[in-house]
Amino acid sequence: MQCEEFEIRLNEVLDERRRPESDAELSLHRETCPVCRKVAAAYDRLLDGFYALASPEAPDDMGLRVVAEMRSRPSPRRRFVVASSALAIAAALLIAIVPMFRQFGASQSGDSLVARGGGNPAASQTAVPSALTRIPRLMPELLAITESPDGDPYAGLAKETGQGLATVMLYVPGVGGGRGIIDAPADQVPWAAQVGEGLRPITNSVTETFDVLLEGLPVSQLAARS
Amino acid sequence: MADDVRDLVSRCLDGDQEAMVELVDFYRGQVFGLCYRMLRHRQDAEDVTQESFVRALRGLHTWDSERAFLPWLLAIAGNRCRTHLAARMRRPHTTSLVDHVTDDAAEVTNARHLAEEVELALSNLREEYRQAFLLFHQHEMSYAQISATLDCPLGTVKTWVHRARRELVAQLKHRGVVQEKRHAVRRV
Repeated sequence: MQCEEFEIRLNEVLDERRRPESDAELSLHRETCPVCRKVAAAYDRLLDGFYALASPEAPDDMGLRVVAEMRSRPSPRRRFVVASSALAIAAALLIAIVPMFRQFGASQSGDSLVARGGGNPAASQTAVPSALTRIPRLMPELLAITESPDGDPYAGLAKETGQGLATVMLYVPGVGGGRGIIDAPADQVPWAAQVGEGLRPITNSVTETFDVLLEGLPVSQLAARS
Repeated sequence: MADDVRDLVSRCLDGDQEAMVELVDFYRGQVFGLCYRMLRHRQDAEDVTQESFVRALRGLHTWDSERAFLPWLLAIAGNRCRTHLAARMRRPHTTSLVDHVTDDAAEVTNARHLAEEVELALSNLREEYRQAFLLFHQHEMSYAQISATLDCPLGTVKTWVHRARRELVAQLKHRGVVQEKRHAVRRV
C-alpha cells in the first residue's frame, strides 16, 4: 500500500463501521510508516472524542409540548384551505349574484324575474317579486359594481358556473342567515323548502364570507357610483 | 418494531393524542440529539425539535409506510435546523454550546477535553458535512438512508462524510489536539 492510498482505505474501513486495527492492509502499512501512523492516530482521536461527547437529554415533556402546540395553532395548510374555500365560495357568490342584480336593474319596472339561460328550470319560471324588492336596499354597493363601462365581464362565467348558485340564492328560504337577501315564500317554490334546511349552514357561512368581503370593499365610492 | 411504528402512526392519523405523545417520546432523543449537534444551543435545539415533531405529525399522511420512519423524521428535523441556522445568520450572534465551556484544562479529563475539541471542530464544519457526519456516526444510518434523508446522491453523501472526517482531523491537528496515542494531549 502506498501512503496516498492509506487515508482512502482508512475511510472505507470506517464506512464499513470497522476499527482501522481490524484491517490487515492498514495495520501493516501503519507499522512501517510513521506519517500514516499519525494519520490513523488522528482519526482514532477524532472518533474517540466524538463518541465521548455527552448525549444531550431531550426534555421529558416534549410530547405534551408538541400536542399542546398542535392544539393551540391550527395547521397553516388547514388555515390556507379554509381561507381558499371561503374565497372560492365568495367568488362564486359574486359571479352568481352580480349578473342577477344587473338583470334586476334592467327590468326594475317589471314584476317578475326570469333567470337568464341555464339554471333550474323550475326556478327560472317562478316569479318572486317580493324578494327582488329587497335586494337594492341590502346591497347597493353590489349594484354599483355591476355598472361596468367595459361591457359585462361576469356574463360568461355566470352562465357557466353561476346560474345554479344564483338560483339557490334566489329561492331557498333563509339564505343569508335570516337577514333576507332573498326570502321567497316556501309555498311559491316548493322544492326550495325541501333543500333549504340542509343548505342553511352553508348559506349562513356564505353570507358571513360575503359580509367580510363587503367590509373590505370601498363602499362609499361604490355607493356614490350607484 | 416497524409494525409498532406503523400502528402508532395510524393512531396519530386518527387524532389519538396519546399516540402522538408516545411517538414523540420514542423518537425525541434522536431528533433532539441531531438538533443539538446541528444548532449547538440547547434552547434552540428544544424549539426546533418541537417544531420538527409538529411538522412531522401534521405531515404524517405524506410518510410512505414502506420506508423507515426515522430517516423521514430526521430529514424534517435537518431541514428545520438548516432553516433555523439561516435565520440565525441574519440575527445577532447566538451564544453556542461550545462557548459555554470553560477553558479550564486542569479540571477536566483528557477525554472531556477531547470531546470539547471535537464539538468545537464540528461547529466549524459546513452544514452539509456536519449533518451527513452526524447521521452516519451518531445515528448510525447507512449511506443509502442518509442519501434518502438529505435527498442527494449517495456518492455525494459519502464525499461529505469523508470530507467531514478530514476537516475535523485537520482542525484537531491545527489546535494541537491530535498526536500519536502514546503522547499526552497538548492544549494550544
